[in-house]
Amino acid sequence: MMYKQLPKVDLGDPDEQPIYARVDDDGKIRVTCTAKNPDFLEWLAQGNTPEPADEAPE
Amino acid sequence: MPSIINSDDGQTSGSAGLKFTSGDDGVMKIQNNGVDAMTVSAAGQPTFAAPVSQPGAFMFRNKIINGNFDIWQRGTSQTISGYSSADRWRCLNVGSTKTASRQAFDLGQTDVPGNPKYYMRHVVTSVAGASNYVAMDQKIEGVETLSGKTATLSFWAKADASKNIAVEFYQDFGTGGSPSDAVSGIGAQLVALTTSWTKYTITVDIPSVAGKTLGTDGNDWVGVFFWFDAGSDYDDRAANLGQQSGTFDIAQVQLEEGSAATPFEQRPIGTEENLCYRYYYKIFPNAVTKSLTLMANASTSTRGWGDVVFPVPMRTEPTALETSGTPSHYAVARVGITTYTGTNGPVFSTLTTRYMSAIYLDVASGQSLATDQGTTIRAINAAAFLAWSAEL
Repeated sequence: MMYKQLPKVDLGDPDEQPIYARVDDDGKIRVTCTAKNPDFLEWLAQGNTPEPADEAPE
Repeated sequence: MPSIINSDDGQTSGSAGLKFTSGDDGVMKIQNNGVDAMTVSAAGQPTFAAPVSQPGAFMFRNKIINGNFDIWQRGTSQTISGYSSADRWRCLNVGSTKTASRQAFDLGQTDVPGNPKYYMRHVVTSVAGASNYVAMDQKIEGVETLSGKTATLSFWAKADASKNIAVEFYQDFGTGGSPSDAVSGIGAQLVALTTSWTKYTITVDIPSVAGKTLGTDGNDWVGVFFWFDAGSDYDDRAANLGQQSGTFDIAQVQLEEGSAATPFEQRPIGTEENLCYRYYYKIFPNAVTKSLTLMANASTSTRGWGDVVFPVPMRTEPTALETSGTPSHYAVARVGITTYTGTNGPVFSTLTTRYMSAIYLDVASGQSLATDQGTTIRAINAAAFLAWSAEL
């Protein structure tokens, strides 16, 4: 299981917080969350780092 | 003439003391200085002369939510550690394994009173290890709950053989800032189960939180733990329970103020559901029509945005959206015209509050969605769902 940042969605908020997708071992994304999510924070505390967001196509 | 028990201070009557008057109409009165405080009719119906003031005596005296194990939004069985089956109950394991599941009482059984429908079963396979354990707990919001009070935990339980479990109370001051250290091992004690349903009552003095410091995240809590298997690292918290395998059944858990257990509080099921929704809310499509339709609008030609209004405000702003994990379970539909299957699952948005959640769903490019067009976000598979957590 790992987390991957999703591209920003342009809510018109310059301080828009990133959203992360939890990618389970079977490749499915069952959870999307903010950086405040307790499970995400626990995963970070274990020394993990989320993958960066894919770059938007030109 | 009624029978009367009168507590007289003597200031008016001139003679103080407890006075009895015997009557013959079957009515009994309890008086202070000759003034009725309570009247019990000949039929046994009590009437109070003033509002009754007895904290915790009537509705909502049970601090446990879903103590009757009626609500199972996440599922009816779990092997993972954490929140995954009965609402509000966290089923934990490290090293040792377990299956926690919903079990149904036989209709009309009388072993456990009140006609409960379900109970929680833990089938535990112990694996030796100091840090291994299997436990179940409920975090009660607000560490000040029952602070400095005597409290009584009652529950029904049985096991596959005569075996001990342990019960522990816990105070956690939350996270953020510099909260006080958690207080563990409160009232930790063994409870000897048998193979028959038996009601157990445990009275404990909950420490005062005076002088303590709360975390700034607003997630402090009081916990009730049931330990089924506990490696030696947890001897203090689990009253030296030790490690064991077995099957452990628990029903009708109640925690209330005072030194005596009252009958299990039967709250209306709708009330209990709403209490659960404060911490976790899950919506499903209708299995036949697959209707789980959110009003939405297209922000681009490939993206629909929809809102879900929660039935009750959640404890805190949810920080995640749970879905089935299969994008094709969801779709954006132009009203009355075309349905476009999702290319990813619905995604959580930071626009979410305690009161509602905004989500978006992307569909493939080349569709005939137009910006600001009215649409819906729909489930197109019975396995779809949307869920939000604000658990402690």
